[in-house]
Amino acid sequence: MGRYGGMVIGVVTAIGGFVDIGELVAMPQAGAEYRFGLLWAVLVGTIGAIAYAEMTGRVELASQRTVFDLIRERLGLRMGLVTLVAATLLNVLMLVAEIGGMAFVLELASGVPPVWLIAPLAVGLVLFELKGTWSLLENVPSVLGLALLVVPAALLFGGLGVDWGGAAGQLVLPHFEKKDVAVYLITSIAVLGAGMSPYEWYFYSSGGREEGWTPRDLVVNRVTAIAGFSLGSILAFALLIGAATVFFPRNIGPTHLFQAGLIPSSAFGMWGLALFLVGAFGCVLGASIEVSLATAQGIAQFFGRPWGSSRRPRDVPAFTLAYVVPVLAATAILFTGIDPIKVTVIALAVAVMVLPLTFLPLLIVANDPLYMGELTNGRLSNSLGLIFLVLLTVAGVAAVPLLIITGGAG
Amino acid sequence: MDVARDLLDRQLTGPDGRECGRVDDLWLEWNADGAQLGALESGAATVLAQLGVAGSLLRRLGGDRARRARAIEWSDVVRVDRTQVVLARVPPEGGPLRPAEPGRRRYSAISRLAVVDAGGERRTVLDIRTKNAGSGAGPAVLGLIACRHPWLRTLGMKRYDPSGAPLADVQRHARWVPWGAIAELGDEIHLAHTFDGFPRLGDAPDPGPPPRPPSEPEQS
Repeated sequence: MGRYGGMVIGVVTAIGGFVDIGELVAMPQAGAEYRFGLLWAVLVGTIGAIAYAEMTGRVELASQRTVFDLIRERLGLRMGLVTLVAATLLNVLMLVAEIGGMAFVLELASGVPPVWLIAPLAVGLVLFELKGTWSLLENVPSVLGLALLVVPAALLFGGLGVDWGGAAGQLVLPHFEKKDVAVYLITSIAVLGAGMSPYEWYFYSSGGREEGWTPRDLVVNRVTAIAGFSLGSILAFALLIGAATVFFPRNIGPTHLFQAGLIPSSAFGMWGLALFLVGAFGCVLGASIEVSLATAQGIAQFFGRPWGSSRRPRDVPAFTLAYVVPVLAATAILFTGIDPIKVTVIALAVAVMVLPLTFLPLLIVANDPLYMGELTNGRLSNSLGLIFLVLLTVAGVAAVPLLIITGGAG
Repeated sequence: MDVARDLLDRQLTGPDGRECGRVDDLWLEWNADGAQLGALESGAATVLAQLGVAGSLLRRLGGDRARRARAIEWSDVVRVDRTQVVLARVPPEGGPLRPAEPGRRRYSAISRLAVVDAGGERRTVLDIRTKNAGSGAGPAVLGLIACRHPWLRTLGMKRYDPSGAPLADVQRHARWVPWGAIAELGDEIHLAHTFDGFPRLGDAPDPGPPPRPPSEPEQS
């Protein structure tokens, strides 16, 4: 496959891979609670995601270093370990939510209670990762995830009566009528965190290495980051606008992970729901793979151990163990009966706290001509990088008291 | 080559291209004639030794594996690249770590020492500058860079290269201390003169850009 074929696949996987449990939980909640009042956060998160995805890919292909190589080299062992431990704990939280999400999708499709599905799903996930190659692991869930395009299709062609003017207006001038500012703020942080989960950058930069990117792939990186993430964000916008249209007027607050399926089913009936479930399963499966592999990639890269999804597990034993153990840990946590929605909201807020520790070394290296040569950051990348670094640092600091005040219920 | 900038935390790669750990620490050896870099160290024991109480606890819990580390002599180092240290052979992991001795300490220990000048002013070690000593021998230590801003390292300023300089203001504050100007190296590094008498970083011997793989062109 040529460079352009790779580019198309990259964009498709970025669209299908954009949505994870974070979007599936945070967007319907935001739309149901604040109508269009948090669309701005989706837009801001998307711009940040594009800026840092492009930078992450460019740094990888110019300096031949993944994010955790940089964290280790720039922050050193001790501060780097803080980031590694925080990212690993966050990833386990994310895995709890993602595996829980897969179980809820299958529950809707089969009627089997989630508690019976968790263990088989975890085993299936591990087997898929053990046996699958990089392209299989990356592409299969993303293609399934494209079925989630049924949500924007429902808004456009399903006769739901979307107030597009109101949505556009509030995207520019947001307002909300609910009284609790703390809940609004923590929900904004969750929406922001949904679009910018740290594992995405770890996985994206490792993906560049897995696919053997060189500086000649600069265009592939830019197109994948800009087109893929922009088109992928359509799904996030659609989930929020759909919830604002279907749930907000009826005063419905989504209490189940997949009540968002009511949006396409309101428009297309059972077919809409079926496509939603296929797409949602693809997205959470893809995210489960990405989160667990990103955890293993981070640990292996930080300690300089061999890694790679296309290498045989016996050739990369530490890497293999480093993705099997988090899946088992997440499964054990799920068996305690914890609510995956609450875990997701907390994980999204924690994600915002971890991001500055990831972005700072990335931004420093992206400005270092000794590493980057001609691909050193320009003014636009630096402006966006700095703005989001400051924004996420402020949001990360604010997230702790807000989580306590609101009891983690964004 | 500067130790923190170009060597510490680098990927170690075996002769078959396989990753085999990172440069978790390295030794500095000195006598009356000067100083040089000693063996590189990699492995769980070396990592845990740098983590204080948490490291001690993990070492006790981790059993035999947590007490092992690999010492790599310079005769086993083929080259130091921009992204990796390539080895001619990968030495086996050994038993418990060797303790520091007079005239022989780990970089991690030295980098935490205060640098105290003749007037009592205190700074910290930002990096140690070396010069290649030829095949098989460890690079000769030329001196150290002392700086006022240790907290900036916590914010990602472990290296002081051009991208870090504006934020850390390293160029203005850092002083180049030749190894021969060290009066005493014990619990602190005592200098024979005040910091004002030492040259600024710009006047120090040029370490050159970080090493690059042979396939990559040097960039200005």
